[in-house]
Amino acid sequence: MALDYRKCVEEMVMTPVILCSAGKVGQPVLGKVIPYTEIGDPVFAAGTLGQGVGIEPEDNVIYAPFDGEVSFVADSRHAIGIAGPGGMDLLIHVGMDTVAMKGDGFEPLVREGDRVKMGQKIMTFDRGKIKAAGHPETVAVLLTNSGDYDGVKFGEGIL
Amino acid sequence: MKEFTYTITDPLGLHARPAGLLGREAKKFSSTTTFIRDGRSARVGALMKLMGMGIKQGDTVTVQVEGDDEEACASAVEKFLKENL
Repeated sequence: MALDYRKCVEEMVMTPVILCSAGKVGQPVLGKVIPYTEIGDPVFAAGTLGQGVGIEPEDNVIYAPFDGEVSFVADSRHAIGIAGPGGMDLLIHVGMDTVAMKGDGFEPLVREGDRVKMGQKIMTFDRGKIKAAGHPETVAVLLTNSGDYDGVKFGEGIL
Repeated sequence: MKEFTYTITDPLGLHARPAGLLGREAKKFSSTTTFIRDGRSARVGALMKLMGMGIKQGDTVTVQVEGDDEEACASAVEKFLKENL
């Protein structure tokens, strides 16, 4: 069972959910992938924070979706930024409106400036606490500077 | 260049949603808007850098706007801050 999980995770992070001229972003958490336009929050769905995907999580661990450097960890612990290949600025934002939980239920495992490897655990979160607080669990994975690149593709099965 | 200061009143600080909306507002203008606090600065459009400044309720930021439409841009940004942050 444990081996099966590890294998699933390895395959998952190798499967791109965002592709652009600078490179690719793997899937950082197990779950159902939807385009950002279907995220149930109008600000995210409008692309205000960049193009990318939402993931309805079926696990509570976030993995680094490429090799990069942690550029940002929210004080409220629910969001992590990673600078990746070709200047890609990625935001991984766990749950909607979860800033209001003030860090309770989120355990980032990295700090600003840390180098991360694709597939490395970077955060765990408590799905029960997010549900109890009444927030959607959707994990937003957004290329915040998607406007800098041509031909940005996102979603499931883009390879 | 136009410059003003603003003190954040939102109890949650400058988090992802308002940061994104602010970036979108500033993009309507050709001028560059920069936030400065405690020796750190970020362009308003550079979301990760801006959020990385960790701006919280009660923090005072210096806002610099520079460009052809700086007058209009500065008032739009100031209005946005007052209404949202």
